[in-house]
Amino acid sequence: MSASCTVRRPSWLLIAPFLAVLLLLSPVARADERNVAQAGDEIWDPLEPMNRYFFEVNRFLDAVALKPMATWYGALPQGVRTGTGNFLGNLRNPWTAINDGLQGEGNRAGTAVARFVINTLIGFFGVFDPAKEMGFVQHDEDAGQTFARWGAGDGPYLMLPVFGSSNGRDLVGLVTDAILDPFNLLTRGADANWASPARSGMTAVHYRDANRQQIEDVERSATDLYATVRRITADRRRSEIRNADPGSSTPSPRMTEHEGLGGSGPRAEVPR
Amino acid sequence: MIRRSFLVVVATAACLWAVPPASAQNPVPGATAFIDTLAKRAIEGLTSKDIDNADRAARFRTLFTETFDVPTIGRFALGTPWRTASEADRAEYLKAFEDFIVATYATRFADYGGEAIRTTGSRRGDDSEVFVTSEFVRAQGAPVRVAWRLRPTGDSWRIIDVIIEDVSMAITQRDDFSATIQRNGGRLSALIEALRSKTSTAGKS
Repeated sequence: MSASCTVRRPSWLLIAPFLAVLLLLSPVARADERNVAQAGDEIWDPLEPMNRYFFEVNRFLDAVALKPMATWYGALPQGVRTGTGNFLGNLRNPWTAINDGLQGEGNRAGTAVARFVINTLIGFFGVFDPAKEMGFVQHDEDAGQTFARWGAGDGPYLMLPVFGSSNGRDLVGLVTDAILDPFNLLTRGADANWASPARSGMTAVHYRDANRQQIEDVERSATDLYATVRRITADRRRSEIRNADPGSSTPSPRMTEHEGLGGSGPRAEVPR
Repeated sequence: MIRRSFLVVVATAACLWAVPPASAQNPVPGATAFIDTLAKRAIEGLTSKDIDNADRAARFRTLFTETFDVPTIGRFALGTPWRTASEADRAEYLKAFEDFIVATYATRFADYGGEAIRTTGSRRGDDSEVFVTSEFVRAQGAPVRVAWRLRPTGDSWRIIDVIIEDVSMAITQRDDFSATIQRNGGRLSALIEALRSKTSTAGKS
């Protein structure tokens, strides 16, 4: 605890120029998006044995901690869970807005700002979501997505212990989020060092509950759960980076029987 | 107070900023109607609480094989091992694949809770293929984007892929199957065994 007091002041001083550099770079560094992987592209997994090991570690942690907590949480009334999800989502809005700005997405930044202001002021600190009724739908951005839009490739696929599916670029993004997310800056500044892990833990439990059925479906249908989870999480991420831009994001591998016919996807055609 | 009014100004500015979404396109209404009909048939025929699991599975199999191009999907999901497989192995695999899909998906219609597929438009792909875009509307949470990749067959269509929030089921299945084959010494028989084992456990739930 005492260490945080000494760190507090310098961290602000270090961060300000870093943010300024990011802001200065962003218009120049808008990526040639052809370099950015699309859903359906190959996933580079050079560390597969290590990743599979951590996948089993995470499956164990899920079984002994996350799933039981999510089951308990899932027994709460739907209204409480929806309010929790709204509240956690609202906390993400400022950092989302900043990242939208860094990606040159003015409209989306405006949506995130509007959501934060409306829901914080008249949505009881974000527990309710009146902004949605006004047409401002929640979306999330983070540093990893911004780096991707600036041209950073996926890097190697990574299965991180506790944090789960990631890649080289998103690992750097995760560290950046931890340092620069205004929520983390403010709570660190107020010496509330419990706040950031508490928020991450609540978010994990909330999403484990919200996706319970989908997780069960995947567990039931996969013959190799690691490979299936890798594909789903990597492609979801690639889709989020492109903001689900229709047309550019729907994977369409060649599935023709006759070689050379059509298909724009990166995968090989159906073998004869 | 100053801060509060500042925030209101920012919110108002953000409201003015927002742009209405482009209206949906539907150049191939026949394909959209095909998916509408499929969704209607699935809800009417598969979600009844009065039929048992065997009956539900049989009805699902009929609907699935009538509307999906199972051999094309199965061949794609298997990938390169298809080339070297014998005719008998191919047939055995396709049968195991179909049984596996029926067993893992049919039971899901038993706990139907009023979800609906709402088609939103269509888009032409390569080779006279068509993507029908739709939303899967749930009681809780945002609608899920589902795209149906269709191939024309004479007077109708066959589905060759279902893409959920940009995740292709065909590609996911292919990754899953090739990992199982690779981790079992490249043997197709290991995948067929795994599919059969999944089929029998899924049927029990």
